[in-house]
Amino acid sequence: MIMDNKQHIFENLVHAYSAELYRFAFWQCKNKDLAEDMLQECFSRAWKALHKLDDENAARAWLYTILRREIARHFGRKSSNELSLDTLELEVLQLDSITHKYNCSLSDDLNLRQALDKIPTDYRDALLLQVLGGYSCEEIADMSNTKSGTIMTRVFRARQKLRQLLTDEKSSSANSQ
Amino acid sequence: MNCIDVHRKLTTIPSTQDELILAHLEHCTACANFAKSMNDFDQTLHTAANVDVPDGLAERILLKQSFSQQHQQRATRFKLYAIAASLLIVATLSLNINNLNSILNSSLSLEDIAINHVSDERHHLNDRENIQLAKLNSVLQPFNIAFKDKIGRINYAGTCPIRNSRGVHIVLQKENETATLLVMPGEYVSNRTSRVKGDFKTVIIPTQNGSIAIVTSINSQADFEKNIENTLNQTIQYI
Repeated sequence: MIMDNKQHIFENLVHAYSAELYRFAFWQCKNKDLAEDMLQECFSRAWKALHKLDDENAARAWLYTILRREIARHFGRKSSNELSLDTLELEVLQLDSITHKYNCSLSDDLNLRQALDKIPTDYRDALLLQVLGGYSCEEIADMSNTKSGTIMTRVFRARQKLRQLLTDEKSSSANSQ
Repeated sequence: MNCIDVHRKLTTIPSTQDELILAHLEHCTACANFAKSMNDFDQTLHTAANVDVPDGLAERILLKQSFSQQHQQRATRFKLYAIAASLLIVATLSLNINNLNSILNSSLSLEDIAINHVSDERHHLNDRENIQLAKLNSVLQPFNIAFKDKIGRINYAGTCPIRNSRGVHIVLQKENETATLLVMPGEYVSNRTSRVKGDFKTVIIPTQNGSIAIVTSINSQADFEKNIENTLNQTIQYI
């Protein structure tokens, strides 16, 4: 009966979160087969450690944490150096002037995906957790075992970089015409 | 709060509900437009990031988990069987170590068994208890044997397992030589036999309820065994 309950919980977790976890893994792995492998490993570890999960409300964040560790283990990732948020004021002003100058639209899905693929991994990691996962910067900081200020810098830089890449794409298209 | 701070905040958290920022947006058109563009951008980002999920993904995850669990259960069962089998072997050996020895001994001749026994317990050859006749006969009494007279200085007398049953192990000293007598009830021999093996030699003489082995050193006097044999034949009693 205990095993039946464990099996039932596990099945519910898979059905509830496998899709969004796959999407997160896809962007981090940039390969759908590897993303699925990472997800398999994630749930394999989750099954073995399911007895440690006490709070159902923490299940989603717990799974994300396991998945991110699997991906980091696979790629042997090291953390990047971060700038403080205060030093980015000038960059904000510069980017706003660029987008205003070219009156460009940032709604091209394909270009956005290509741009998303190009931004640094740590930035993409934090941005996807915020956008896909809906987590706050504080929650992401807890999951990453870092400070919320660091996460805020990462998501800021991620959006900034995306807009820069898309703006560069638009301006090069405009020049070629 | 100035427009730079607002832009920074909106770039970090486009959907912020910060009251100060919301208040700023109400009277700053530029920042309000920026907020809208950031929210639109995030909507697009969300759509772009939502790549298609492979068909059957959840089912494949559950299938792999099922096989993994089945494999683990098999491995656990195998380990339990292996542990149970090991315990059974240990228990069997522990309880039947004597039987094991008996099985091994049953393939040996009685002469070899007698010599091996004395060789294995040669420390008794150094005992110096000086056991009196009455005490010796009390050891022999369960085996329905007694000695009428003293047969020599008895340095040791005790019971021992000998092949399939128990016998009496006696170390006696006579004429400055030492001999071991093994009283072996149930070990019948039809005739007197003898054997030399290693450091020892033995003569086995038949008795009414089995046999007695006289084991001496190969260096002992030629007629020492014979003297002991004659003494035993004269003094042994069956009770």
